[in-house]
Amino acid sequence: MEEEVQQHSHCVNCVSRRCMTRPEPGIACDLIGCPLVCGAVFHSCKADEHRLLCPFERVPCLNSNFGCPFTMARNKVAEHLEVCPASVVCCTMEWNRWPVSYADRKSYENLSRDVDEVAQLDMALALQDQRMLLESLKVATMMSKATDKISETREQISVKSSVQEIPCTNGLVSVDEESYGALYQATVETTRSLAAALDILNSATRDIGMLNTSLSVTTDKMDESNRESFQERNLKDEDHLHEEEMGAVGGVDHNGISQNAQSEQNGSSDLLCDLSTTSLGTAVLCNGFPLENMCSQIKDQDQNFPRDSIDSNIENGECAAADGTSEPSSSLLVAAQLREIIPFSALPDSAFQHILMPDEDDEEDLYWKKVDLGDVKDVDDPPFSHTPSFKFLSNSWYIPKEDKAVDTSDLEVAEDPMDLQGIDLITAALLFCLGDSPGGRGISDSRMVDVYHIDFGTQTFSLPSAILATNTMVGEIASASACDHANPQLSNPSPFQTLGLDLVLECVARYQPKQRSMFTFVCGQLFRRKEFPSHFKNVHGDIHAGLNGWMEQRCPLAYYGCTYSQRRFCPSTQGAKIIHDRHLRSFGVQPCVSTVLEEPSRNCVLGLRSDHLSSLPFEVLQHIAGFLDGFSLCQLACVSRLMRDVCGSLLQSRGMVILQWGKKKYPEGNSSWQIKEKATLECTEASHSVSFSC
Amino acid sequence: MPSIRLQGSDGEIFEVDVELAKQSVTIKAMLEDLVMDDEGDDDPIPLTNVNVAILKKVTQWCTHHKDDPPPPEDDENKEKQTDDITVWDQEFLKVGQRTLFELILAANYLDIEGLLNVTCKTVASMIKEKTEEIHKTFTVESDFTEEEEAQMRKEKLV
Repeated sequence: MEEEVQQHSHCVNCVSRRCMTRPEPGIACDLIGCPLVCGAVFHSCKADEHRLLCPFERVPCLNSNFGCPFTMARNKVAEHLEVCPASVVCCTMEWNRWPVSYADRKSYENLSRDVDEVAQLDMALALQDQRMLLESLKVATMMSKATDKISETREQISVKSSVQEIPCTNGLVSVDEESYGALYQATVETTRSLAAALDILNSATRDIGMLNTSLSVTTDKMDESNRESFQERNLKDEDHLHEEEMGAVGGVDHNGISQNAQSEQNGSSDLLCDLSTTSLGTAVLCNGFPLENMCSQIKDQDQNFPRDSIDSNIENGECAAADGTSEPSSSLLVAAQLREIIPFSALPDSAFQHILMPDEDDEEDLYWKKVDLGDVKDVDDPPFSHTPSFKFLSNSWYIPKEDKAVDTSDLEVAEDPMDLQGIDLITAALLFCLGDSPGGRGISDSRMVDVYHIDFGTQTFSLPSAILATNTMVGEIASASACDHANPQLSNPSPFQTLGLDLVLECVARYQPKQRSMFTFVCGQLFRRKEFPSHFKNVHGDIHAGLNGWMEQRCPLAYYGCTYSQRRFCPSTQGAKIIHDRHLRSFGVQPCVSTVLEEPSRNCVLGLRSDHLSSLPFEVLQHIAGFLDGFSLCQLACVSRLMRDVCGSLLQSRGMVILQWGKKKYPEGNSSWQIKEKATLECTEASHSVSFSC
Repeated sequence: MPSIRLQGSDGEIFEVDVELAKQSVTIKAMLEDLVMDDEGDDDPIPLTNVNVAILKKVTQWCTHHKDDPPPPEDDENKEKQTDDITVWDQEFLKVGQRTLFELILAANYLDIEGLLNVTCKTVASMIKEKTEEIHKTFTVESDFTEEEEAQMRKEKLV
């Protein structure tokens, strides 16, 4: 029957309001008017169709999928869209700031001294930008990503941490034992990686010199004491050797069977194990120094490759094949026959180089000599005059490596496994930030040493590499309260109190290239569509544009530390002034109420001050809140639960709906972004429109 | 001019002009609903929620605003301003917090829209002025936990 109604042959094409066709089943039906009295007249079979057009039909908002809860008559939708809570506009206004130069740092410290007492708009905005900047610093490096990969293939070293759990306050990251153990593991890996990288860099210069010059090794500068110390170390290392095990570069027993695991003090051995392949003849590293490149050239220089020096008395720092073969790879041969001092580039004073030195007693023997490069004065004149005669180090130079984790749970755990040296994690993170931020305290000085620019570390604190090994957001562990907590230990003032950014706002267009040291800040605040114009005009058009000496004028001697400033413009409402709220991160208009509302003196004397505001009926509080702007509503909502409920009742009319997206991973491996929830926020827009006057 | 007698919560009797009293929708409804014969005009109208002192203040306000036009219909989309309080009203409302809030309660009970709006605007202006000191200004005790406060500041959720 319904199908017959919908398919009336006459009604399908009839739109006449005065149709005189006689109703017949299946042919035509009678005319009716709209039930909602919109004025439309149509055949009754088209009632459902008319509901799709009727202006009085109640329909959900066009933004209902974005969280708008309202339904309204269709002819009211356009009017509603202007105030729709889901019609949210994100302010994309940008501004720029330069970091404070070292020359201006002192004067900015003086300017920042009375920040809490004096409400200066330019300082308030600059500090807000600085807070956003510091909270967005993400302390994660490529090394941390590399350590993540390395740690996957390793056995986990169980560490019993004796360090108490760091209390979690204000959203700080808590360190539990399980993550602490992983953190410690990552710390160790990071340290090794850094040391290996340093070795590679140092060895690279040696490589260059070896390729270009043929150096001779003399025995004049052999240091007997060094050799003996290395012999002792070699003996100690042998305690950890395993038969038929793979050896570490730089420390292998001469008989080719035992392994001389290099001490992990420099952390290079294990990483080198990873970097080196487990098969012979592939990437060979000699103390991190690739041998293949030089092998071919050096090979040409000396064709005397002894192949039976297995029994040679090779001491610390020599490699042997794990399989005990006496036939070394060609690269190993060449490397083993190096009897030369690495031509040194200018290296830090405390750097040591492991070099192959011929044994004083037996030229066929080579041993690793630890040379203090601080003694090397002349780069161009190598101290050795012998032409290198290459000797084989008895066995294959390279031995495949295998990770061997040792359970140290029964060992005494260091009190400071993260090497924080007495400072807590929060302080360490802040120090790291300060040292690394542009214009902040430098962590190194660049000096010229023998034509080369060398950076010498000048840090006065120990950088806990665990921070590098994590993806912790600095903002999570370095909140403003944390800075205050760490302030006594900071040699520099807390970054949240001293301004490190220029007070002057710059506005560089988005399409213009900017220097890397210039910071760009985006407003990024969300507003209802109707409130966005007033926000842009008030905040960006008037306040931001007027902060550079127009609205708020500073003393000409501000550079020398004078903190005086005066407001040249104020809102047209008498007595009102512009204020900045740190928590809302926005500006507001504070009126000056001429009403003097003072309690009668007798009540004050008696201490009878009761909460009259909360005793008002709920609908009255709603009526009062209806007169507040978004800025004040946000403040009022933080007063008490009752006020929060009152402000919450106005959310539908004053708030905005924000979609919170979450990434959903599917079993197939792909992922997609989905709406996780819809949050209702209070708009922070200040007064509706503010006009300024002198 | 005819007058009516109003009895406050404290029992006192207060006499006021009928036309002024009819600015209160509540009193106007009472007058329309009650059967007022000539012999029963002496019975005062009980107002249990308003004392005589506040009644006098309300009468004073109604006397000044007796010739005001009826307020326009409240448009929800229209922004509500708080800076349009007249000078006379500002002077009139220079009273203590307790008196101000009693005036609000009286205006709400007596359903005097104009008085209710101006008193609520005054409180709203105070809130705007003391955004960071609302606790102190109105002696409102916060009943949030520290975690809730931190969460509110973080998410700005209401």
